[in-house]
Amino acid sequence: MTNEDVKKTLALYRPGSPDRIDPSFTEALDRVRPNSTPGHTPESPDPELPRWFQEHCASYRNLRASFLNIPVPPALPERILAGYKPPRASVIRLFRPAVILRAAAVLVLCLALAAVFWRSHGKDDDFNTYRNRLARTALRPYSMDLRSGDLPSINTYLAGHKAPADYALPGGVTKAQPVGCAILQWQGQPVSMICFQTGRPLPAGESADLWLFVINPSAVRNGPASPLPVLARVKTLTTATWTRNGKMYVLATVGDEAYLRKYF
Amino acid sequence: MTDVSFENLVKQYYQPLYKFAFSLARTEADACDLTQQTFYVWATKGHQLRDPSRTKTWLFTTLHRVFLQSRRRETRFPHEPLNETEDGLPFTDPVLADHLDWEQVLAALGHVEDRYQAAVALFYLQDCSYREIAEILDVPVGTVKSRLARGLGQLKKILIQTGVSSRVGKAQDD
Repeated sequence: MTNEDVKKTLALYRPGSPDRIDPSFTEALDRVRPNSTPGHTPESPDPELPRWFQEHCASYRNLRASFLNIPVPPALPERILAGYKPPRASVIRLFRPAVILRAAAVLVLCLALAAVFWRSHGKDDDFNTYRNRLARTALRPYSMDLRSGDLPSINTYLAGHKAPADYALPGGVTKAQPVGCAILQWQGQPVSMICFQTGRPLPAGESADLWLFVINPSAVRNGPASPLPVLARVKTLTTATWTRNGKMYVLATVGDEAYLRKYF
Repeated sequence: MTDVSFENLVKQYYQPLYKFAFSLARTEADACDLTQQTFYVWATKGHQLRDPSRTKTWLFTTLHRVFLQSRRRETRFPHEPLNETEDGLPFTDPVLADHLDWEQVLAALGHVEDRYQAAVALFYLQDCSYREIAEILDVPVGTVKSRLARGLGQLKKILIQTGVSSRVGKAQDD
């Protein structure tokens, strides 16, 4: 390493830094140390090298001091911290009070909306719903609880199961052939379903084409209170509804209103 | 990262980062913005750093990148010709060279070629080893040293030309 190489290398040396243990400076540093031993270098030791090195170090320290004297705004840390928004956890902690309060508020709101909807749209215990339910039952496959062509036996069965049995048949219905009965439930109240055959040809698999449903009128909201039959078309059935002597009756059959009227 | 650990990080590094930023930008406002932006990037992406021992290098690297990005956005980086600032740099007696004003030194650094300035600033701030400087500037250590050799040479000449310090020049010119 020539003297020029030493200067070139040590021009990048920073006194007081870890550069002193950097292997790339070791040899050059050895050349400028006061007790460096000459003779093993290709060039005679330059007596000026140590002086040059001292001045380099002094000049480095002066310039470094200038950089270190750059004033830092005292409020800078506060400005940095003020702008810092800690990242939010991606998982919501469910049991924080704020979350619980919000959930409770949403639940109360949902309940209030449901109550409003319930009031405006009515409950499932109204007459129209009841009548639709009866029509669906008659039109779908169903099983009779008792198959019998004997009306007193049917009534005994109904009474034995606490279903309405003291009903009064319209005049025309008494001419139809009873074939059995079933007990339905409506709002916790028993509904007597008495099945008849009118004598018309029955579709395959069917055993009845006229049905009488009897229930306590208190179980049906907004039911017709008239003792005279009120006719209405429900699905493919024609129905007649009336209330008499504490019983609400729905008579249903396949056919038009004129056909049904002849049972009264 | 918790608030406490972020606060500790700021306390530990805001000063050297600001001085590095000021060395590059040479205005307080820009240096503050660079420093703040660096910590903002840390707050959003610092968790990706797996080796905590590299935090310092990560911060300096980020600051340098943010600086380069801001420079690219400018159509032209304002650069005053040397003769325009000569009058603003007072002649300094060589005896006073021990008390170089940081403003004079940074003004001189501003006339060093852009690509050498960061290396020179990191060289004097002495917060980083050569390996770390290479990582911050994203160049090999050899390139760092060649940039430093040229940058320090330019800085020395500028200081001599402006008469700030003949002693500095003499020390490195011999």
